[in-house]
Amino acid sequence: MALFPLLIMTGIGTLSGLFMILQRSPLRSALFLVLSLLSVAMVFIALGAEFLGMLQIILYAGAIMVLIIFVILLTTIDEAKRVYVLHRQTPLGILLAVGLLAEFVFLCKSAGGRTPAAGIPPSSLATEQLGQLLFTRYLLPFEIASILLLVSLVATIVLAKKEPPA
Amino acid sequence: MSPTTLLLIFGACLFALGLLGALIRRSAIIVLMSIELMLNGVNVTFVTFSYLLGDATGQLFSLFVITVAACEAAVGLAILLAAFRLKSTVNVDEINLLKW
Repeated sequence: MALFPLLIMTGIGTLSGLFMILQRSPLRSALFLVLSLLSVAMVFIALGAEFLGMLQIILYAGAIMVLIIFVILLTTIDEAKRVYVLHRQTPLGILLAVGLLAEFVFLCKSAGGRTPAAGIPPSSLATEQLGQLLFTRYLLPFEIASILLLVSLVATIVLAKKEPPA
Repeated sequence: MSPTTLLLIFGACLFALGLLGALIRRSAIIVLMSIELMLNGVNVTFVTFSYLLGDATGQLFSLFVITVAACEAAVGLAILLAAFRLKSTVNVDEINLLKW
């Protein structure tokens, strides 16, 4: 797998993630997050996980981000007051995040450098293998995930309902 | 640097950026979006190892992570809307009715 296209994809993803957390306007943050999610989908497709890449675009960048943008539009009352206050916890937060990232990079450098195993199936079989695993070995998590979706659907409707006028 | 090391570092960077956003931002919506960024970092790591090992189990776990992220985003945003109707703000410092 060529390194330069991957470098572009990961660069776009990381930079848009960085810009997402530094924007003053939440709507611009949402758009940068969409860009980051699309770059992650590009990485998935480059790794041969095409089904997951398409699901990432449809579900994450399509459905979840639309939901988030709806809520941003519903909860922004004052456009002029988009103040980004430097909170007193900011230095500690930066220290923690940078420390965690340093630890992860150390782990990645000592565990990475592997090449894929010799007998991996081509990417066209990944979807088939995913479908087979989902309905044979991981059937119980699949059913629990559908119950979770149902429960969260009901919960969202109940929580977001307006109180009827008394 | 090999491609897999780059991808693992990418996943770690997304996770750390999401963590940073969740710790320093005061708007609850930005915190929720940073949590989604963290979940994406985890997904990248799962799919990278699925590619390395030639097994689709990593992609399957990523599928479940996306499903749970959708549910959690929906419920979290509904709670946020309810809190906004009460306090007219999404600043996490001002939603402090439970504080001593």
